[in-house]
Amino acid sequence: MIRLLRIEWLKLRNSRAFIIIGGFYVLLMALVAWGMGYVHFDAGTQNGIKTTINLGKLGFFDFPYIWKNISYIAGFFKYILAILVVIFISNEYSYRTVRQNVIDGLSRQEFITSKLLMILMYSVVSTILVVLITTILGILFSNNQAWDVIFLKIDFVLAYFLETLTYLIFSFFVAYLIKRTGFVIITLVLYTFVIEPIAVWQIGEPVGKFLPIQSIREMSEIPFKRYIKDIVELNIMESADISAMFRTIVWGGVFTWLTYYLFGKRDILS
Amino acid sequence: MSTILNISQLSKSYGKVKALQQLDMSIERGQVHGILGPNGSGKTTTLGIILGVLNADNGSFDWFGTPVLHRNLQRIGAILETPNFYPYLSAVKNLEVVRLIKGVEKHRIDEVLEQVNLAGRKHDKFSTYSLGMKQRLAIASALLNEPEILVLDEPTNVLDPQGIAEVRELIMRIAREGTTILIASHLLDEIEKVCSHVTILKQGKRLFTGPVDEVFATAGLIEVGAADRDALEKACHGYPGIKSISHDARKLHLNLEDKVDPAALNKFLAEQGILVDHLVYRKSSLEQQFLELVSKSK
Repeated sequence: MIRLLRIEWLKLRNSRAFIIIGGFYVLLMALVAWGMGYVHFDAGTQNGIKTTINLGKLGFFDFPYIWKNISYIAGFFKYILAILVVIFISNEYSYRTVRQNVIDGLSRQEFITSKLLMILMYSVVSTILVVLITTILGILFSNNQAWDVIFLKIDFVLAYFLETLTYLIFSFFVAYLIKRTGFVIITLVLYTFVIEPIAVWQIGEPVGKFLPIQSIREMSEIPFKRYIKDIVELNIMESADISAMFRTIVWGGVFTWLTYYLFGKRDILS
Repeated sequence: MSTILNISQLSKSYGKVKALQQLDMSIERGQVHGILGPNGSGKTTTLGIILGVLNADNGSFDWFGTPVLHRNLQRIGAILETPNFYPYLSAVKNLEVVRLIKGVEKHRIDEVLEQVNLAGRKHDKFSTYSLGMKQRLAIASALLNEPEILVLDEPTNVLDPQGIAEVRELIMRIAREGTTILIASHLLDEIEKVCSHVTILKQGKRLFTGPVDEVFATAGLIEVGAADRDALEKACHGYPGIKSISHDARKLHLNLEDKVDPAALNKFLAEQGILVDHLVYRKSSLEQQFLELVSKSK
């Protein structure tokens, strides 16, 4: 295990792509989370007084809901990590180093395991990052610092972890199937934002919810609803959806198994 | 002698193309074993299967008589087709990856880089290397674990003459040190120069396997010329020991199946009234033998 991690880390840490994209990811996530506190929007004029809505003032950073809010936003950045995963999988094919690794004595299973360990690391590190950012922002801006409620909504962080992990495993699977970086990214974008949403819309949510991206989506929800609930009647998720979490875990398992199975069975041609 | 590699009834097809058909061969410790064949004869397919990147349709093989393939591969040094490394990593870091895969001591990296004369460029990125340097790094990488057998696929294929000479010298040095080598090549003189044993493939079928001098030992060839070539050819037909006759513009090539004494032949022709103006006895060259071998089984 340690050996596989060392091999993978050696491949990563000397790569300019990894340092630039990884650094960009960390910075961007911190900046955007921070910036949320300064989002203003004009709510029109009432009784001659101009009102503006400020997320910070609305309680966007209040414990315990901040867990749901920040992890939802952080969820958008998983695509940056997915790009990293895709680049490093397709590189192994374009450099023909998958072949060489196997010839040198890395078993096929170990090769997949080393990539999955990298994905697990990305997910763990980014979850730690979310916890750190949330904690700092909460301490700075939360109107509620009571110890007994601070960690109430932390299940959304677990949902975030599953979301990132499963999406990266899915990206890995697609990258393994298609191999060329550009085509992989196009396929991922099309599937995530076009094909599956249309499929869900066509077959309806009761069946569509079992699809992978939809399962990931349904673990949490857009957090801003809370702040307009006085204006519109809305149902608000108070905790991460357990059944969606379960479906997500199953999909993660399915993609993992498929990758091991196909990689174990097929010729490694390049 | 102990068997390093044993291949039995190995077959593989790509769609309709039968790349390899029921190959049997084995390699004993200490051999320098060549797999010889024209392009598309199944050499790389054979290596791909025994190195774990291709799956055989049928048949089996084992290294060192033990079953776990990736453990065995850690005892082998192998290059398949082109040298494959991470272009953004230096020679040292590329070898570090190999070292971690094979579980080799760290000091070996500098040793093998010294061995292939890359020590001076060891911190430069692989992408900046010339073809010859890339090939030498590949050999260094294959030597990293002090392998029990070295597997090389067309090791001199893309190199310039100087590079070819360097790599061959290196291979022969390694062989002299007692390492078993399996080398695939379509170049006869490469096999002739470095191998003790050879397996010859054609269109996925084995034509021959055995010691190089045994496989290629035949009676040789006599070149003979005379003013009246037709009369000469007529006279030579039926002379004992001659297998076949071919000719160019002036001379006949008599392919021999038994030893033929050139002096006796000369005397015989003179008695027939044919005065020979050219008579040369040649040990058959490997190249001609090989071409003969390959065309015979068409």
